[in-house]
Amino acid sequence: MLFRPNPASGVPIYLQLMEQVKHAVETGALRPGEQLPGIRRLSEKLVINPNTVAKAYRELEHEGIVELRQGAGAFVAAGVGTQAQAEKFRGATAIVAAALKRLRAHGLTDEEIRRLLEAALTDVSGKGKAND
Amino acid sequence: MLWHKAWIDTRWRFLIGLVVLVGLAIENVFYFSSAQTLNLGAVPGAAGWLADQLREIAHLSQSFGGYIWVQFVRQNLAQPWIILAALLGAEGLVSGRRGGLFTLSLPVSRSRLCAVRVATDLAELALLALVPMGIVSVVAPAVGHAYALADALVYGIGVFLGGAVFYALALWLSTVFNDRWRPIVISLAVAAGLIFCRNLTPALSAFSPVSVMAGESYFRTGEPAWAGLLAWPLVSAGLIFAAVRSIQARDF
Amino acid sequence: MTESNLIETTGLSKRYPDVIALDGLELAVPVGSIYGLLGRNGAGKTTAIKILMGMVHPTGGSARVFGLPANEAAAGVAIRQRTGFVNDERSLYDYMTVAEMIAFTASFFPRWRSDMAKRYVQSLDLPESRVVRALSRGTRTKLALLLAFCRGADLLILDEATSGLDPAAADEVLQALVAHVAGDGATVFFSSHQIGEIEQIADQVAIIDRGRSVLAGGLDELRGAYRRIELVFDGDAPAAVFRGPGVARVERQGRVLTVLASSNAAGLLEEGRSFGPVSVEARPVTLKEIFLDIVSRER
Repeated sequence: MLFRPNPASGVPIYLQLMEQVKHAVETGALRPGEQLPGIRRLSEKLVINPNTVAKAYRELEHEGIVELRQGAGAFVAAGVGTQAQAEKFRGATAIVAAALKRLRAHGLTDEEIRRLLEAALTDVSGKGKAND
Repeated sequence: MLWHKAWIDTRWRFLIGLVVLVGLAIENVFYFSSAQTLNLGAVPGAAGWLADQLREIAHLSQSFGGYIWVQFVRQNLAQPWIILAALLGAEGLVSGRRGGLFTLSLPVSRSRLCAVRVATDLAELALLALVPMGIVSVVAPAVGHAYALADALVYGIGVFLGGAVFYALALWLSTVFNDRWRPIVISLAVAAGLIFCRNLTPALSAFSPVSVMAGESYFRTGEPAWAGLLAWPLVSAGLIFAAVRSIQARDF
Repeated sequence: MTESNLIETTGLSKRYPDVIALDGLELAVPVGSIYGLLGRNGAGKTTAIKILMGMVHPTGGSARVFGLPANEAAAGVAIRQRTGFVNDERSLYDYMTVAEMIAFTASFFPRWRSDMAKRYVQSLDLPESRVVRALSRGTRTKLALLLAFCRGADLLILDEATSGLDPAAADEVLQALVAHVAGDGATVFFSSHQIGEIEQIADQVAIIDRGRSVLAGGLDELRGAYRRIELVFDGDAPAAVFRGPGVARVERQGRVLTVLASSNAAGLLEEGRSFGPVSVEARPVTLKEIFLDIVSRER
């Protein structure tokens, strides 16, 4: 369920790893209380720096998604992936569907929409396009 | 396991050399009776340097001791021994190729690497001089003659102490040149030159390493050439020291 | 002694009669890091590594490993006692078998781990009785790795560890390296001209060009700081001059103005907006782009 990050993407590997863990939690592949792979095993499997795995786990703990238990490893925190989360994502899915409908009606192709979204997401200041 | 490796790196040269020299020793001893009859027929009345040489050889070959000295010690032992010494020395201390970089990555100082190698080479060269001489002494009774072991050892030591300079020269040259052939060729050329000079002007060459090797002084006067036996090892040590310094300063 | 930097070079220089291999190299490798030295062929990577291993004598500056001067004979022995080295040429003794090489190397290291050696022979699939001369480059590399790993070293120095290897073999090498570090915690200093593997496993990186370090720092920090800002204009892009710091390069092509920002991306983005473009985009920059920008800039 955790696959090799893309080192050439420009996005730090630890962030990619965090995203993968969060995605796994959202889809239910990882449930609260379940253990994440050990740092050593994961770094071996994905062929990445063990410090990077450690960093990702620390940041996930910081965000409350994961619990690091001394000597035992990393575990998905309780209360993550709960009903509230699922609701949040259901609401978000609806917003996205509506926006897509409007953009398509505006005459944009799916490729153009994808580029727009990518550009907006990687914008440093997060304010979106310049002329709005 | 540095010693083990030094042995592995030189053992074939050593063993083949030993077999050849011991073979020559045995062959020379058993050839004595034939040599006697042969040399008696040499040119008795001709003049010239070559004729003088042949006469001397014929004269010396009358006795077993003289024969051994002129045929074996001075020639059939000393000359192949010089070749072996040059080959061993030209092998070099740290090879730029063939794993040299791996050797240098070991937690051993360059001076220790060199010391082990030189010690192994010198031990082998000493044996290559002493063992064939010892064999002469052991086998001589088989042809009805005696050859004192003490004499054999004196000559053996002389070959080693006098001839080590050719090993040291080849060794030092191996740090000057990158290939293996120039050190060998130059060292052998020097040896050949010295042998030639010795034969041409025996009086002037008394001090030459080839004379010390051959134990000229000991044979003719019973007195070892103390000065030469002291000086040439010192020259060898100097050349070896220079070679080691060169290795220490080198970039690999 | 505790040193926060396991390897430190200050103004390290190496001049040969016809070429300057190193020209004041500054490096600081922290303990516990996987440090990637990136540079073109001939940039000075191998020279720097050989100086650290005591094989080459510097002509200027200093290099210290474990706080000891790499250029002194006795210190060099102490350094090599704690360092595992895989060199570019995979120099080994051709006539020895795999098993003999292991036994030979083991004899120099009191901390040799024979249990680990046995495991690696299995996992790396090394033919114990085959002569080194008969091994493929990939197998030689794995043997060299084993010899470096099993000596209980605190530092591993690898010079182009994956060069000449097919992608599968290269991946195995990286995997073995990462597994070893995860289990044994050694510091790794490796040089490469393959950007991909540095991006994959390094947490610290330095770019060396023409004998000097032109960039050094944490890889994640670099990725966080660098941005490529693209401004598209209605007409021709203006010959804009950016006042803010952090501009690595500015390119104008037709209606597009591209800025490579090495820092202060947010500030430069604001400045870019002030020139009135129709579209503004900022995206992350890969290490490859940073590297190519740097080595072409140096010309």
